[in-house]
Amino acid sequence: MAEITICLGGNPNAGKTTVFNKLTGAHQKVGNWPGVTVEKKEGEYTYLGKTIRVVDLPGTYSLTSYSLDERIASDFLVKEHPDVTVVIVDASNLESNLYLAIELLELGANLVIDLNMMDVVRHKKWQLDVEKLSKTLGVPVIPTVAKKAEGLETLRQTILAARDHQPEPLKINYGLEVEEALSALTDLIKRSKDSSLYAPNRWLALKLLENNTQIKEWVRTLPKGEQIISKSEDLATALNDRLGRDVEAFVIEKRFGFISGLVRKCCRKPLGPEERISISDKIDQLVLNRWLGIPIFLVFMWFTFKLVFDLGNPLADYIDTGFSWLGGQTTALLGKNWFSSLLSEGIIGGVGSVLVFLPNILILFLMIGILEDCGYMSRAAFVMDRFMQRLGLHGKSSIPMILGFGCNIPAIMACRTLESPKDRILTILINPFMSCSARLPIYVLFAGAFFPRQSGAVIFSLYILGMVMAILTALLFNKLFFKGESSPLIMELPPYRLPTVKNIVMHMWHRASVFIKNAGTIILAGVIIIWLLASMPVGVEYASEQSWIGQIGKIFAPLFAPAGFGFWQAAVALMFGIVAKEVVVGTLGTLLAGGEEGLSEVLPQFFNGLAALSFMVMSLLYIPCIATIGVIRSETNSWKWTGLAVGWSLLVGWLSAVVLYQLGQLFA
Amino acid sequence: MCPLCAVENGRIVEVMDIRGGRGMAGRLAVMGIFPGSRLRMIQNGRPGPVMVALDEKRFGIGYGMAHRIFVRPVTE
Repeated sequence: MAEITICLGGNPNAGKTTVFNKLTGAHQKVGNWPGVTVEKKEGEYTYLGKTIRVVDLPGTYSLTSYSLDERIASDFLVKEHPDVTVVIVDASNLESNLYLAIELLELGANLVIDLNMMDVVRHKKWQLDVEKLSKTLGVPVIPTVAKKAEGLETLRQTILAARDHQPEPLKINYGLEVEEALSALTDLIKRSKDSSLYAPNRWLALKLLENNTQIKEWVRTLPKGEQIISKSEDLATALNDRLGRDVEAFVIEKRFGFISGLVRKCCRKPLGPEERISISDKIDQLVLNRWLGIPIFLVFMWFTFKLVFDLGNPLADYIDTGFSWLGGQTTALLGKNWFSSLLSEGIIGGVGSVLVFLPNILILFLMIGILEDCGYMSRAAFVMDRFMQRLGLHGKSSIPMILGFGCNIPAIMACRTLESPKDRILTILINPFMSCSARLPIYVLFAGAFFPRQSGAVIFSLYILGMVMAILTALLFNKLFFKGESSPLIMELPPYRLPTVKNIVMHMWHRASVFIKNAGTIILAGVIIIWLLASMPVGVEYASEQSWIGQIGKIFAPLFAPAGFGFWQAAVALMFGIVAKEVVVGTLGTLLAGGEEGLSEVLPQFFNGLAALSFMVMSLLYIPCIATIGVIRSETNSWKWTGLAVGWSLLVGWLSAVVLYQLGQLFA
Repeated sequence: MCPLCAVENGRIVEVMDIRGGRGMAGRLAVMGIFPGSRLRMIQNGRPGPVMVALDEKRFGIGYGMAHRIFVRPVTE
């Protein structure tokens, strides 16, 4: 049981992750914040015999409610009320970083300010009076260089000593007009507040004037809450008129005014050529160039892609071989019966089908970690933003879409970097249409057997078809479900820097373990269900016509007749394809030719050229594999969206196959 | 006065007005971009997003947003 709970807050790129890692070392766990799929990191450390639990808040600029991250942070601060709040401030960007600290002080949080990146300040020869800063704000201020662990011992000491502090909430004078409104509103709140909201009345009043939707929701639950809200809205409207502008922006600027006064008192910067172009800027003039930006992005993506699959696939093959060997040994050991079949085909095969993705996923997260850590990831979003905005998506959506060509599972997990839930869900939903590498064996088999001369062109057009479907789906879903809520790009582009091995490896491991836990259970369950269907009733040959899955195949077969492949083996193969799309080839082999060898000679007895084409289209578009469904479920945290992804892809796949076959027959 | 997206690379400008919804002005303001802030254009990707410097920080701002931020050139 932790004795003290502290939380870490700070702007993105202030060095929060480094401080968190240095404080807690390896004692970390990653989960999700309740109800949302934003990563929640927690850790622990012991100092002077006391156990200290550290909660890492998402990186934010403020406590407003513009993004999910900000909502999570203020939710935690106000409702859970941590013993100590440590805010990490990038000392080399003092003005903008102090904003969050000031908001926290207004909230009355028991604050410790970690003035990080002091090495940069020293390098620039700024004179920073830490003591004066601390005295003026009334809270401890600790200078650190987190990446060199400098000052962290003092930080630990200060955190422990600060636990019983109860600082007075900071009061900034917002000028006569706002102050009048504030005191009227504060009185009203004072009279109806209960103990559920651990925040000063003045702060709540201020947030209401700032039109903070989240605080409004909370206040609404108070007795007379509605009355308070309507009063605050009247006051805000009156203020907008009197000030001649938005009270929200007015208040923010007043805070910055307070900060710049503070910084002028405590920090002296030598005069010099301030506006010089840094190396980082020079790189950006190339990387973000109007013409070169996109080609450079594509090269980076291609390189990532190559590494993930060239390095990952052989490893995946080893795991695959290992598990089939294990399955074979089990059958040999126990003889051929239902139990050994459950063990080898169901459980061992199921675990194998989860772990087989692990090498690709690890390498992918490694690459993403490197690109994120060195600062390129935000540039990629920048470069692609214009094109993606047209599809109703965000610049950051482009990365998962390209990764989808390799494997949809890590691609969908990469959607976590998207902040707005709308962008994230939409990017996830269209991802299965990006033709993953598991579908390639199907194309190779059919295109080779039926269109040997044009096989390259056929396969290429399938990839294009997938992309077109993804784009059309994005446009359609955007209209249907999201009513065009656009999230404009506004993001900080951190300076380029060398990534640290420790950060990347930890990040990679945390993300991969979440995959194994969440997606793993669903994949395993799905695999076992398919196994059960293929081996029931008892005594039947695995996946034969008499098995349940064969029976189901027979039921579904007529459905595929309009697409040109209305026989039960094709239906069964497609059903097995749900486990993993590459299984389609193996299943067809077993059912049509008694093995994969010689399959391409047998195929023309069942398919004509047109039917082969529509079968490939179906394989491309219909239902994502179980693993993908599992990841969609765990990443969207919703069966509704998962159901939509499955249903929509089935419909699109079937319709496209049928339309293609019917039109083809018309013209042939 | 002209929109931010019309500023050439290397120019220093002062923000005069932000003509967007409440949310937009607020989002920019908490990052330090509001009337009176000085920005330097690093890379104008028109008709794509622009990259600007605010003191030591660098921001990418989408085109749609950049043409609603009105600025005037600062001569030094």
